[in-house]
Amino acid sequence: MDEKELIQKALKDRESFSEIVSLYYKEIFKYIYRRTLDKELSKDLTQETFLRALKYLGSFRGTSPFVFWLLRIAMNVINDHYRKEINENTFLKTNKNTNKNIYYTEQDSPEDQIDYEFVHKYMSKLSLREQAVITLIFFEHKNIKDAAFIIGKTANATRRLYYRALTDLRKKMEKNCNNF
Amino acid sequence: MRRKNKEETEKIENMLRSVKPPELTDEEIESYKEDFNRVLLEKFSDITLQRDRRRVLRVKLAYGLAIFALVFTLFSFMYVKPYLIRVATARIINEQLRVNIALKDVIVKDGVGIVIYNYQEVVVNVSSEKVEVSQPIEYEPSDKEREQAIEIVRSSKEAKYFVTKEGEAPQDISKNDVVSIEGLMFPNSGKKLVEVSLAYTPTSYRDSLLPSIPHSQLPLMTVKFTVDIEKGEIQP
Repeated sequence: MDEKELIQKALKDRESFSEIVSLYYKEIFKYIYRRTLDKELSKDLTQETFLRALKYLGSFRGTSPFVFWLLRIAMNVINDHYRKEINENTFLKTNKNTNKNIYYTEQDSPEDQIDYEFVHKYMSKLSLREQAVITLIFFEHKNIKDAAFIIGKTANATRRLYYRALTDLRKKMEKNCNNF
Repeated sequence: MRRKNKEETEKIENMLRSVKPPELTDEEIESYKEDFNRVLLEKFSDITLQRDRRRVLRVKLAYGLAIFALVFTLFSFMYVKPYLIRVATARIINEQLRVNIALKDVIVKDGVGIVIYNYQEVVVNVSSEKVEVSQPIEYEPSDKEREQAIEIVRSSKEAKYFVTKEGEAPQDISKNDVVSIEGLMFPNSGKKLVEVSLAYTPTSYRDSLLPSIPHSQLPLMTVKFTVDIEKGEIQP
């Protein structure tokens, strides 16, 4: 059974939808985990992603790979979660202070210096779209075109977003460096 | 400056490429997946039911919108188009004949604007801005039209307070004899006017000049009232 048939069947049949979950759960969970670095939260948000996918499955047109569609939903679920947190005024507080100098220097070899958790702390200070584009390109290994589809922007707009995200990330790291 | 920025961007790209994302064991993810499958078991039927309901609602909404759009289009043709023709007709008559026309006096028929003005029918084709003036034709009014026209004249204030000359006291001629009734029909609009002539004696004769003349021998004159039966009023 090909992907399209499986999706059609999954509209009514739970077993078929479970098959879809089996196929894509790992990839979606990993993406969400890379954005949140919180296993319990990732579990919840992955669940929300698949339930939302089931709810809107009829609107999937098949113009792109199904996994891109799922990643877009996952991105929206993450954004909704953080927006809600911002509204509750907790997100900024939890991500405001860091006492670690994580910026690299020209002399140092970055491979030895940087781990994901440090980078993630700075990434989490970027806008939600900027976070998404960086995660998709560097950690999900998507190209600009695929990232553009997932984010729901044109390739040019995504490219601009990507460079803006890198510049912002660099500035935030430099700022932190200067503080020490 | 640009070069420096490019270098900086490249540096951060290289740094990000070197970052190793956190790895999760397959067993861990499998256990989460199993948890989710249990949730799915409970929620699947509810969600699919909601989805079906939403689809039905969407279809109904789409039909509702389509019907609304259709009704709106029909109303536009019924009301908006005639209004635009009225406006254009008044403008064209004003430009070409130098006459101001009230929009309510413009008749719209078969896509042209028609105005009855000064016993003439002015037909305006708004698309070509062509103006045609035609004369009315006489016709024999029906008994019903005659009765209606007489009734309108007899109850009109023009007949009840009739004045022959300025400064004279008004006289009531509404009950006077009807001398003649003639019909006028305008060929393009199909509009009809009925001319009702009433007999009267000028006040001056009755009151002062010839007091010795018997009532039956007083000089009789006629006055013509033009009645618009459709509007139920006398044309000014």
